[in-house]
Amino acid sequence: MNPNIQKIVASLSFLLLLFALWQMGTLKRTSATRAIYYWKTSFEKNTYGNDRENDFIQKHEIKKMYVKLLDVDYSDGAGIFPASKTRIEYYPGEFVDSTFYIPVIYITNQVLLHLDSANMDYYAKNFISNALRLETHIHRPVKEIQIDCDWTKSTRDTYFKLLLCMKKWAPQYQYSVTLRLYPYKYRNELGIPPVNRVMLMVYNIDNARNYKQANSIFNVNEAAKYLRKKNYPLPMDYALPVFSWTLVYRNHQFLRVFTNNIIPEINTNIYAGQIDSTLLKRLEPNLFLVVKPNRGYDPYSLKAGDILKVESCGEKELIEASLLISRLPFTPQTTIALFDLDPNDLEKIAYEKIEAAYAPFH
Amino acid sequence: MKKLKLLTLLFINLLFVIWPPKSTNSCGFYLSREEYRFWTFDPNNSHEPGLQPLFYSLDYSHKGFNTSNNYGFEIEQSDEFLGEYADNIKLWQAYCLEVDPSAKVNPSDIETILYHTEPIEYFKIKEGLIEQNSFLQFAAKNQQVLSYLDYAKKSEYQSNQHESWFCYDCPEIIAPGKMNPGKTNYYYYDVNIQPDPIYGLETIEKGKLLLKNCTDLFLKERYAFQIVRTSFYNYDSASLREYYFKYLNKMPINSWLRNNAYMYEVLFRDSLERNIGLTKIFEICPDKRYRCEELFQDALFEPSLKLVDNNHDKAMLHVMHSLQKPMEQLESIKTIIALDPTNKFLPFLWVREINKLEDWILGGDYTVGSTKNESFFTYDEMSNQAIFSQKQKDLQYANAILTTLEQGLQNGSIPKSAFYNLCAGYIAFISKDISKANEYYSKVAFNQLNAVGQTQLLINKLMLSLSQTDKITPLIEDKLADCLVLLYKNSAENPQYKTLQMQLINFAAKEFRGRGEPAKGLMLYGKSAQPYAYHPLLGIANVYTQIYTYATPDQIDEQLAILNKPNPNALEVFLRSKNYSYTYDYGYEDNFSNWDQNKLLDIKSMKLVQQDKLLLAYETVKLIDTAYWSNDVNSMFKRDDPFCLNPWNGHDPMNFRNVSYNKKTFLKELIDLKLKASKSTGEEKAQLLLKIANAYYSMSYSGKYWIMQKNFQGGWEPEQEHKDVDPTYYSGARAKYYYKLILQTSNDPKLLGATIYILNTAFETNTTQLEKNRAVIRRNTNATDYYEQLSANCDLFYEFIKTYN
Repeated sequence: MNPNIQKIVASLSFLLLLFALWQMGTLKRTSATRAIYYWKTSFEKNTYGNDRENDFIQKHEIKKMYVKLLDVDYSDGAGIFPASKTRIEYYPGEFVDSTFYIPVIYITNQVLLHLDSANMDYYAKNFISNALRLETHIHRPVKEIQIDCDWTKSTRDTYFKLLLCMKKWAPQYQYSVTLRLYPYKYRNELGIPPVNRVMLMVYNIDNARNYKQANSIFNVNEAAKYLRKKNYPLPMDYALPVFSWTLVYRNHQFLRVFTNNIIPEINTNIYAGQIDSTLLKRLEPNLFLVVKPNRGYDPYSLKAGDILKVESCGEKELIEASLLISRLPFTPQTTIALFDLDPNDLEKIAYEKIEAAYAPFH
Repeated sequence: MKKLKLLTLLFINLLFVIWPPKSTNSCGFYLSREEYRFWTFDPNNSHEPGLQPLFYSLDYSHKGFNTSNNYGFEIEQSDEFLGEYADNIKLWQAYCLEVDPSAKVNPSDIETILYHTEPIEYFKIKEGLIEQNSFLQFAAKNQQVLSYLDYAKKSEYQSNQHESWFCYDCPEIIAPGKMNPGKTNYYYYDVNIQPDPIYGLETIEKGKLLLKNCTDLFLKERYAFQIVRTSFYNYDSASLREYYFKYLNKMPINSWLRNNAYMYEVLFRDSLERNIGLTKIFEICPDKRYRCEELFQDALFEPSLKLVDNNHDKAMLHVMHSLQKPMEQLESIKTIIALDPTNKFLPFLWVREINKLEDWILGGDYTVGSTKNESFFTYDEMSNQAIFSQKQKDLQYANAILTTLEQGLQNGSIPKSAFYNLCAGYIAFISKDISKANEYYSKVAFNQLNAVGQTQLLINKLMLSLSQTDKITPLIEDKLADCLVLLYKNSAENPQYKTLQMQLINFAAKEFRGRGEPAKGLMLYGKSAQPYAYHPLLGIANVYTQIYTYATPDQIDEQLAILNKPNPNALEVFLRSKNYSYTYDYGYEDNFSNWDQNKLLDIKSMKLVQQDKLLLAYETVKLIDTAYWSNDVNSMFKRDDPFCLNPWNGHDPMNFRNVSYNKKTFLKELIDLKLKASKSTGEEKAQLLLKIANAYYSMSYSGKYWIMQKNFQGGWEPEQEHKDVDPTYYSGARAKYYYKLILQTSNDPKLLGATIYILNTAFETNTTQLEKNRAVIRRNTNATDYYEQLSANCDLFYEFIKTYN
């Protein structure tokens, strides 16, 4: 080949390489905003006490954190009641905390079934003000409030009215809701919620209330069935599962869920590492019978005879869910959030896999 | 003159600034003083239920109190279901049978539903409960009952502490788009029950409707109770009063339902009327006594008194007033006797005054000090003079009580019962009037006393015998053993006997130690968890700490003999039984362990090492089982080389030789070194002396092998300036002696320089003394050079040690 042509080809190749590198850089810049859910009974953010959590956030450049602040439930005994209010311990110390926080309110469908329009204002105000406790502690306003609710066709109207009512009392905020796979697919029946954005939760498919059910958190084949439609009328963010939970059944009835694997904790004596094998009996690999409550330490109020079912989503499920959303709409404003910030689960997954989950659109 | 006063005051203040009162600063466990009051006179003698021995907070004066002993632990159901809960379960059981004679309802199922199922849980798992719980099965068949239980659970939620919408850190929404910010400075947990403006009032109204339609009287009364309770927590006074007076006020006076509702009604009254109401409930309802005493406003005692017109009610107000006061209350007792001589709380008030005397006068001798002294002075300020003069006043008060009691017995205002003779005898004993104590005890008609009183007499007589004898006799030992075993056997019926047994042990231990049986006296401490509150190790002290602190090697031999003798007497059998492993959590049943004879031998060896009787110490540790040296404590020392010293840090293992010692091998090597040193001279001897000196340093307070001399390190160790407390331990005086011996023995400049370096680094902070030590090698240029090199280069000392060890 003519040496001049060779030079031109080489120069072009070099330019092409530079262009490709520039493009990759561009892609990186337009990748999704990285977020994580904080789903515990206590929101603890401080300089020294949360090394593992802080390390994860820094390593993966997490910019947003969805913090569950309030659980609202209904009981025949209590009416609509705050089942859990997250305790906030926010002491960032000398470090500048530039994380965007989004308070999340979890509302059960039972609440909607019993929510009377006469009391709508009372509850809407209470929900918002309980969620905005976060502002009091972080000393700056939040921009968005998220509502997490598994609404149904019969509660759709009440739910949407509630959302509008919340907007009425606090119009200065953006509102988002979580969207499970079912309402994503059956949008005609379940409606499009009157909010600014939705967070599509690519998990929680099966009925957790049945303790004989296999893993109820995620099943890729089942999930894929719900995602055949590629668009949704509202901007979408995506939540991917990396978590364990423990479901508690008493007298064969589902009683409550703890969003972590509590077995190691309740199986241990007050002295770290000492296992008391008399407390639990393993019925199946993930099913345990409480033989007697842990007298030394039991923050879970378990009783003898309770059945505990532990389920978890790890690396495999995260990758599968990530692949599923790679075919869905993406804009520079899209957020991908992992659920949730629990180092015990997250540290089992390789750094690269987490990075890949945050960048499924490349 | 004013200026002079001012100057004087300023000067006094200045003195306090310059010489502040010493306070104890140490880390570790802290025990509430109230856990360690001395008492032996059981309030159950007064026959009034629900009252405990005197302590200085209300929590301790009633049954059902919570202490750190059971904190975090599940309360046994049987403990909880005394009193009104048990009554209610029985009532429900009878009701079920009345409604359906064939119903087989298990009382524990009633208990589960009424007291162990939270309202939210109840509604969540109701279907499952109906399948498995006989009481709920019965209710499901009798719809009225199920409706009531559903309602009761709703009422329970509205009446119990629950999470509310209210929060201090919540912003307040005042209009669309407008908010007041939340508060950042607040106490996180709001203890008050916040009424639910929607469901609270709805629950009350629903209850009224259900009551109206209910045809069953048993359930009607319960509906009324639930309405009263829910109304109380939702500030609906009209509904509360209406339903209390209409349905509950006329119920029998001993009905828990009525009395609980009565409590709600009283708490809605104005403060003076409320005091009177609380006094009435205190009188009739033992289960509510704690709460009444807590809620009674003593500041309104005088105005409350003006509102009542009969002597009995006045006397009862004096009872409430008296119970609020931890100090002398003889005048109140006199007033109550004058107003209402047969007041049923008088016996308890006498017992309470006796408990105060026990604490103030006997407390310091048999436990850890008296509350009165502690409230007047800080621990270090308690001068003997101040304590003595306070005790004199307390003794005078004891005499005043005895005089009043005797006068009452003579003039008939106090009945000449066995109980009061017992009281008089014991007060005389506390006042150290032994003959009078004997006289009153002889008047006690044993058969007139109930079981508690009979046990009390046994204890009191035993205490008297122990105080009268010059030397403990086998008979006294037998009586003590019988009494301790009796208390233990009856502790299931009377839980206070466990504490009482410990108090008696504290008493007996002290008397044994003072009356010729110190070995047994110290062993007794193993059966009590309450004599150690001010011990340097506080809650983790145990019988070995006491033995280490007070026993001689001979007494330890005596203890070992008791543990091994073929025919022990009853007390020795008791002494040989298990001990409290530690004293902080003395409520736990698994907190007991067998005597560890190896530990006793070990303590004996420490005592001998303290006296530098190394051969005897070695003979003692030779008797210890080999496995003992691998226990948790001893294995902490196995990586150290005690013959090697880093003068900057006496705890540095310095184990260049890769050796491992235990007390036996350490002592053996030290003895061998001393023998060799005695037979050698010159540089060989000097090098041996270095090892010996290092070993003695290691056995001192600053050394790594302190365990050779001490059973514990830490707690309230004497401060640096108090080295004369035990110079061989705190100052390392023996080590210093051997280092100085090196200076007289060696000519090796390196050894001399290094020895001065050790002396200056490990022992001296005084500049003059440092120079004085240096002057010893002033004329030895090489030694001085080496000293200077060591001072400039820390690593060089390691080289020296490697060469010389």
